[in-house]
Amino acid sequence: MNQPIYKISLAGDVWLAASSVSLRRPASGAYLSIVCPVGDADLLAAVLARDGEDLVLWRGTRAPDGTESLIEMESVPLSSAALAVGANSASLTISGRSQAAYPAAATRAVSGISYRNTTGTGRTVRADVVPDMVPGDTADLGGGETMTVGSVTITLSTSLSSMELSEAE
Amino acid sequence: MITLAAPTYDLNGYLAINARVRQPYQASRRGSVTATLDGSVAVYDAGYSDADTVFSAQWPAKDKDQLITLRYLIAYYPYLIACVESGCYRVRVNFTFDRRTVTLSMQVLERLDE
Repeated sequence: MNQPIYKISLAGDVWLAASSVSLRRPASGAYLSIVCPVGDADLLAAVLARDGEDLVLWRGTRAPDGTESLIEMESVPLSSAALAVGANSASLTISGRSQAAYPAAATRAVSGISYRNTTGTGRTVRADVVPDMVPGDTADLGGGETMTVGSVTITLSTSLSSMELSEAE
Repeated sequence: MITLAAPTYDLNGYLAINARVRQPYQASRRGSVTATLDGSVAVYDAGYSDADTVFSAQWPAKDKDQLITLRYLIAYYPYLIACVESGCYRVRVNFTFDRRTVTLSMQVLERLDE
């Protein structure tokens, strides 16, 4: 069985191993934040030297023979990096923000709904990750129920991946 | 044999205990191995420190004077000099006495014989 993987590239030539990723897509543009569980001053300097270059989140699979298949999931210009070092661990947090327009809206099916909340301003739904979901899309929640997406938050870690959709006002 | 001694001159500051520490030879490195989203792991290595060692020992209490001396050493000195079969260390000590058994714990602060 193929293993689902996510990889991070910086400026097209530096590959970083992340332990967690947070991807937010509000209407104003995508915000990508990644945490790498390693780091030292040299790596921080190398990352900061690429300020403004493309920070890209890739998703894909790895076959048992090691063959990887990747497609781009999000791309933002790098805007900040911070290094935290403790006695037993270190982490490098890298983030970027894009103000580019999202692709044309589409209707996308949502599955694995684990939580939903309804308030006066609309619905919030937590479900399996739909990588291409963006604000303006119509989320098909099943059973004939649909929702216009106002913002998307995707959280990825090695133990869980989830997507939270908020309804457009 | 375990010996505990005060770090300064003290006629009452010495104790020889007829017991062995449980794991006189132990070692671990500081750091972490974290699973990553690319299907691999990231290794962070922060090196080796003797100060990550804790020695412990247990023996049946037969000597009240020994317990009094042990309590005296702990009460008066922030650290002691301990010698066990694997070396000589500056340690922070605590002990309990329960059901005729003494349990000694020595947090290593520094190795002195290397």
